[in-house]
Amino acid sequence: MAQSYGSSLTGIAGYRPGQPITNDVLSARTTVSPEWIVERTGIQSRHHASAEEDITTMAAEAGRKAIVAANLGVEDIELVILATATRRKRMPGGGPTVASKIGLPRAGAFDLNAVCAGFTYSLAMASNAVRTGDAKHVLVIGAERTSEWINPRTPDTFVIFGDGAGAAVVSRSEENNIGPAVWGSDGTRAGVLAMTEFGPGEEYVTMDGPLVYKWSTAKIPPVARQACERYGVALEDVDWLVPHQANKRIIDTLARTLRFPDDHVARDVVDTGNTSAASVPLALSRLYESGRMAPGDLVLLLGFGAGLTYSGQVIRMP
Amino acid sequence: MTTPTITQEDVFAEMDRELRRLLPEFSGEITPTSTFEELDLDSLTRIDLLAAMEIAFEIEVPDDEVAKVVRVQDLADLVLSLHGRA
Repeated sequence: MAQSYGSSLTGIAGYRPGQPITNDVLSARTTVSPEWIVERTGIQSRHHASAEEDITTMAAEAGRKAIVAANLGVEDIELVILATATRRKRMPGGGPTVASKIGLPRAGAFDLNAVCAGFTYSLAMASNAVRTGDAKHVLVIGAERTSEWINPRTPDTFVIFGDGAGAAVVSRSEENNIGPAVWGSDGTRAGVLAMTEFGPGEEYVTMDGPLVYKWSTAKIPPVARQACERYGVALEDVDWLVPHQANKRIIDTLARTLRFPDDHVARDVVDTGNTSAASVPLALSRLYESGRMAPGDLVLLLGFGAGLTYSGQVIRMP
Repeated sequence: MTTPTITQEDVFAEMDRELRRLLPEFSGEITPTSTFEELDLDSLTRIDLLAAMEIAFEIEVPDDEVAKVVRVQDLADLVLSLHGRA
């Protein structure tokens, strides 16, 4: 007989690899100055993974920490969703490897590619799996190694992207603490942010920055309001805004348009860069670990980017 | 219901207002031939201006027109042509 449960976020954690890479270091390798980087992106530093820190390794590190944060054991996790767009190996997906690296004895696993909206889409899938009874606890991980896909020849992407992994556990609960997702896409704009071939075996991320900025600052505010409406809360009642950490200019414009209190907006991008699917969970985990959040705080998560695609939802923090 | 007519002067007035909001320290003259580069608008602030004009005149600038807008007159012409199509 069909049964429906509630779903809640029960653990959140992040993993930032390697050492911070400053603007001075990157600027020396490309054609833009450190001042240009800060003015255009707001980014001061970002992390690039070492050779040993591949995506499944970073994902497993974040995943283990999230399971501990949720006060669960490896035997409790029944499903792993790995949100990633930067794995070189197409087949098999990375999810099963992540599950094995963590040591999960009975988890299903799959990958989800929605690039920068990957985590928020995956969170919705995890919530659905828990609510239908398919799983009691789901591990959702956004993990990216964008540094493999950038090149000094394209300075606008060379300086913004970073690596990392963020993970969350979604668990069965009495209450609905993960709101319905609001999502959509626009494939007619697939070319504005994509991997582009520069030659045999040479593929790098290219971006039309102004068009990405135009689309995201126009499209996402209504999505934010809809996500609140679908969860039955007013935007004014939401405590924290955690948008995809694409670029500080985009975040600032979104916050201004939504009239969201500035000191309650995540700007993890400043020292993490744009980590695609890892950006929302990394920003959320840092905010949570700062101690500034209170149990029960409402958070508006907004993922958006290459596709173009977007999804957002309101969640209530543990 | 017909779309209200707007004039070039309406567009310039709105653009002047928005530019000065976006560039609070700018006190110089803004003319039709002023380029956004001369006005020290970077590419993202140009989009802010475009977005403000889209809202003010209830138009949507197609993606393939965005990069062509380099002067005040270019944006005014675009707004007038798009408004006329609304």
